[in-house]
Amino acid sequence: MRRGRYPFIISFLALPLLVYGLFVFSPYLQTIGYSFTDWGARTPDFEFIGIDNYRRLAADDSFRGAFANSLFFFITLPIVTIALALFFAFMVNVGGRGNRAGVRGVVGSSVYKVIFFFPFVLSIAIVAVVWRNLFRTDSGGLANSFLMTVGAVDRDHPLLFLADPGTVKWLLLAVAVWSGTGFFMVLFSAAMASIPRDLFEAAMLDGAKRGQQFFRVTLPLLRDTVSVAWVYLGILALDMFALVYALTSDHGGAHEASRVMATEVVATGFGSFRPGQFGYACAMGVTLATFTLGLAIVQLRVLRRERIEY
Amino acid sequence: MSVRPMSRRRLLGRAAAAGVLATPAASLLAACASSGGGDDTNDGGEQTADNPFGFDATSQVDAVFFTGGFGEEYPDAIKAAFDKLYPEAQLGVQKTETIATVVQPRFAGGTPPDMVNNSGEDEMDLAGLVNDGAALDLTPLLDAPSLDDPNIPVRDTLQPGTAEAGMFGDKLYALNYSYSTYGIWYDAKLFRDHGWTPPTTWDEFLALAAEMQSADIAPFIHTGVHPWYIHNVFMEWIYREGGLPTIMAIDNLEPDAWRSDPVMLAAERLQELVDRGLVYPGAEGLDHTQSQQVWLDHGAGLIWNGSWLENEMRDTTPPDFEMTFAPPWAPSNNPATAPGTMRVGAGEPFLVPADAANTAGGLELLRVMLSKEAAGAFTDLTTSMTVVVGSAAGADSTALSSAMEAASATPEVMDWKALGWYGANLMDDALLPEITELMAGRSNPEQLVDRIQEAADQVAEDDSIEKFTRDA
Repeated sequence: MRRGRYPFIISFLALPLLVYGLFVFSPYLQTIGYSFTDWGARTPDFEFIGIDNYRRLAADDSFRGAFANSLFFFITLPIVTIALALFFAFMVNVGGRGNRAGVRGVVGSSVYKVIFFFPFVLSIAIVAVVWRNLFRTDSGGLANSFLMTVGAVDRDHPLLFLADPGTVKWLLLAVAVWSGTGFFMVLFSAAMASIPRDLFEAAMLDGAKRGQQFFRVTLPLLRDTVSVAWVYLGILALDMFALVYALTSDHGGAHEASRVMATEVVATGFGSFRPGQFGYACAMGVTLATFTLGLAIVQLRVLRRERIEY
Repeated sequence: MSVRPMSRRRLLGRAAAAGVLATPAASLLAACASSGGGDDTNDGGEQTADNPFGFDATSQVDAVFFTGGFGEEYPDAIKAAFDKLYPEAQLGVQKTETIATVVQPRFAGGTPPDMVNNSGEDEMDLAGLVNDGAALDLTPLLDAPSLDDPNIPVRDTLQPGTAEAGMFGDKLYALNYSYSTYGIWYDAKLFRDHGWTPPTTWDEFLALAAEMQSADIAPFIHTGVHPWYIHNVFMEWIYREGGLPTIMAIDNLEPDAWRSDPVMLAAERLQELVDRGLVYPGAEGLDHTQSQQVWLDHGAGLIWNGSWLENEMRDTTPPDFEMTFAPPWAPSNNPATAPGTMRVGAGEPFLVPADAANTAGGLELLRVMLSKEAAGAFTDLTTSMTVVVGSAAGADSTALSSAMEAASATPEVMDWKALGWYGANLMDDALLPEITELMAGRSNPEQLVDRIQEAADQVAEDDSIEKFTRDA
């Protein structure tokens, strides 16, 4: 088996790697190449202009605004999602009390698992339609009409939600958290399930309350999973393309507050065409990718630690 | 597990494997996004009186249509008309709602379609295409004999203003197909029941607005998500107030053209709409179909729109709603133009890419579209006029008949050019974003005027942008 191992492996990998190379790797390389040109994407002709696109990018105000927004999501999205997901996973797996012995979750935890995971399963189109109608800016929207009935909002001044530059970022964050928490709750549940129950029972016998149990026993043992989730969420937050594109007017371009780097790339590359705009968009894309990669690497290094064997 | 020392045989074997993988990679470089310049367009056949473009009747023609407000059925009717004339040609009709997404990559790769209906929210920047030489000059189409009567050139079968609508300088780059009326729409039945009439001056509008508000109907509605609609109100008010001279100054990029009194007044009136609460609450976040539906449900009384409105909302229009057209009212009580002045003109641009494989086919398709049969089919399906004179037959829709009546009675036809010639800089960068902010109460008239003027000045100073002028 040993001698035939490599040809065996290669024969399985060749086709997928070829597809990957053709449809993922090659466009990446081309993007890097075009970022050094003034291609307008209207005709096949272009010229090399060196790092002019990058210089222009450094001075671009709207990209800087988009960068700030992406950073906002990068910081807030992982924290909120992980905190909520950990809390739910803990309650659903370990948080139960009551007269019966043993470690289990709160009452109805199997129902909760389904409810919390459900938003992750929904396609982005459905998410967009649901939330856009919920946040519709006149009395026809669910949120506005409820608030108007309750009297919290004046009929003549409905809340603008996603059309309001002051609140759009927080609402996008809320929808992103709603959408992603379920998945990470399941992830953490699986990680918690692999922790031997004896440790929890020992802690309970020692008189640990739920809070102490969580912070002193569960969290340290979940550190690996949490750090991986943090990196993954960070990458997702730097993307945020689908939600911004689907939920905001002009696909995020209408206000400074709703732009993220990913939508800037698309708006520049495929929006109103000016000479040399596509090469500029490629430069933006390369910057975004480099930034994401760099942050991911830094995070992984910082959060690395010895594996705990148990 | 110990590591076996590398033997020569294994090293050579691995190098060969790597080489095998590298060979396809080298050919991948050839599949770059911007392949070299496209092939020469085919010269086609002989040019005769019957075949003014030398179209090869057995060739393939590739057309892309925008199916938005006009629906999805009219491209099929056009294809039927074309196939009847040229049964051996293969006309491929592609319908999409996102033109740039579908067609732009083909332009970039050097293989554009033979004809593109460049319209919709995702339309390509026509001015940019013209600047790059990517659009074909359609003057031969105008000079060609029309399909219905070979003694008359196509130019003479079209409504006045059709050719001008698609011209850049003295060349025609876009054939506008639908003859649209733009202006104010209302429900005639609602107005009859309350004894209202459409306004022509600002004071009349304010009086009507007060009555509408007491009937619990918002006077005016627009769509905040698509500021293109409200910018038309703004431009119409400028024209109504200042007349052709104001607009000509704007079109010719004269200094401070946007700071003139009519422009300032129009901006102030927009602000007044917001300040007096005459706009439907929440309109800033609604898109066009949502705002149109609110208007159909009598949530608002007046809306600005174009003659595609009836077709676009056909499925959800209440049965007793009498959609009726009215020319825009003036922002003051003594404007430079007479009541009834409105914008009617060719819209819905169709172009032929210069690098298309079958430009003759694209031109011939356009010539077929301009025949009475195809144009009549379009009007039947969409209740919208085409630019072909005499093609709109029986009108049993109040929308179409009121629009046609107003169009034939108009004392002066409005039109402005600068926003089309310099669309990206003036519209996308300045006018549209700032007017959105103004309508949402986050800006003011001075800021709007300043921003547009700044953008116009930038265009005037930028030598890489080709400039156009008009003398009339």
